[in-house]
Amino acid sequence: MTTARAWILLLPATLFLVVGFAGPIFFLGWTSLNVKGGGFGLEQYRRFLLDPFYRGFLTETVVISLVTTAVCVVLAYPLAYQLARTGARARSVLLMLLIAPLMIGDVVRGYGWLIALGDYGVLNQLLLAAGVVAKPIRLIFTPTGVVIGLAQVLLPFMVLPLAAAIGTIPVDLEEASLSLGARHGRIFRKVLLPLTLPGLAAGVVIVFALAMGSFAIPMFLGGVRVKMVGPLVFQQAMLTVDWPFAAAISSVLFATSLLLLVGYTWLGGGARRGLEAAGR
Amino acid sequence: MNARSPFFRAATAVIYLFLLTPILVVAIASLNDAASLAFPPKRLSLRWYGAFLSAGEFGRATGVSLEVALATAIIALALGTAAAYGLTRAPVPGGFVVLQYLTAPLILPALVVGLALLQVYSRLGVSPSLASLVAGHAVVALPYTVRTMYAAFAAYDTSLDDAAATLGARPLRTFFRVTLPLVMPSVVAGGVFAFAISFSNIMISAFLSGPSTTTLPVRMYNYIEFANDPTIAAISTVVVLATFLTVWGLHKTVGLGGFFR
Repeated sequence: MTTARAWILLLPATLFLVVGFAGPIFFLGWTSLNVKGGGFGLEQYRRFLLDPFYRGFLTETVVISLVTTAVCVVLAYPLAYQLARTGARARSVLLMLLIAPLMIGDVVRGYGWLIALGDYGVLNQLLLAAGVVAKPIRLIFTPTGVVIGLAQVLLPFMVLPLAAAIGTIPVDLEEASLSLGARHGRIFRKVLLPLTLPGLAAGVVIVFALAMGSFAIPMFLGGVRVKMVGPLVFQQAMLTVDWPFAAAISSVLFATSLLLLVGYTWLGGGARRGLEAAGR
Repeated sequence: MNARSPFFRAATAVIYLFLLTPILVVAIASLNDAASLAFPPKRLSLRWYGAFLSAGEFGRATGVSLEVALATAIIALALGTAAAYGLTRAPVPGGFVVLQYLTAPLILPALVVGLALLQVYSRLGVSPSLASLVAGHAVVALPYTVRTMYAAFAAYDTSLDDAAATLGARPLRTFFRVTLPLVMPSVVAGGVFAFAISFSNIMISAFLSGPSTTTLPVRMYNYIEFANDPTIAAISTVVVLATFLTVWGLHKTVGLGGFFR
């Protein structure tokens, strides 16, 4: 095939994203520069980034996203290792159980966590019945609750690139270290961790970016108490109907993710490998 | 390290339990006879499934979601397959950048895409319709089909196409009679994933759904806002079962290898 023909095949998808993605994002950026009563300026950005009330949203979102990413890293390693090192049959069962929740959607999962973590939810009734606590512990409408929900929703995005990375490491390498007297912890630090760094980086970027832009889980589990940027955008756009302000917040969110993605792609060629591994 | 050691098995089991908790909880809650979400249920009943089936609003919303998801999957597959074929079959200057661009909506927040499209629609005077909703869904679904088809075409043995050409088949005929049948597993996997992404989507629909184009997730979300009976749990359980059946079907027919490379 000639390059010209290849471009003809690329054109529909490229144009579709110009009209449906890039164009609207630019329009959003333009909207965010509108100032009340006409004219252009950075007033909306000043309000979002300098007003302590709104800046609180940004800080809390970053903290929750970082904690979620850390929780995912810790939970993902054992799972990824199991997935990569187990037999074909067990692997497909594990893979099915990992991918199905991914396809189920945030509303169902957010609702499930609401029932599980509510003041009189599953967890609290179990703890009360077992006499572990005297009164229900508060989990929903707290940052902890949001982190639990987000970690569950985003965990597969960490596991898949990690499992792919572990899969490329020969088992011999671990066996050799074992026979040379290395302990498990040391094998993890000296062999597994360094060799899975590209996969880990891919997972960290994806999970952090998706947590920053999350919307349904914070709405369900955070309510109005937990201040996250996603629900704030929705509230400003659909309830307060302050479009320039919603546009400015979205632009900050978008720029953060874009910077993260571009920087990461630039730094490591691993982006391509890792992202493909994640199936995303 | 040994994946078969008791420690690893126990750790895996606990983490999977965490991963499946909201799904299991929803399934149990859906069988609760009482209208409050007591746990464990005192009496079991299927009446909330009846409530789902008899409430026309949920039926309509399910219909809208199915229509939107089907249209989204078809559009994303057509655009994604063509683009992936172009990228893998000829040296395209800056092909890597194009691939990044086509898959960018994956990581860049979908919430922002929803709001941006809403503002453009409003500016252009486009009222909410199935088409305007599908356009938004297709933006977030396209990366999935591009990635799946890109991987499939990259691994494809092009000597088969050359053989067909040598035997006199024109490029278009070669593509539809030789190439496409051979990458069909990836087409199915990409299509199913695009369908699922659209069917479960809330971020785009929250901004673009209109009164007559309310999707199931939006309808469910609105219902939860003011009612707290297990109807939503029943609907969720149906969605969960359908998803697990689909994933199992994929595993049995085309395999899940596409998600694990």
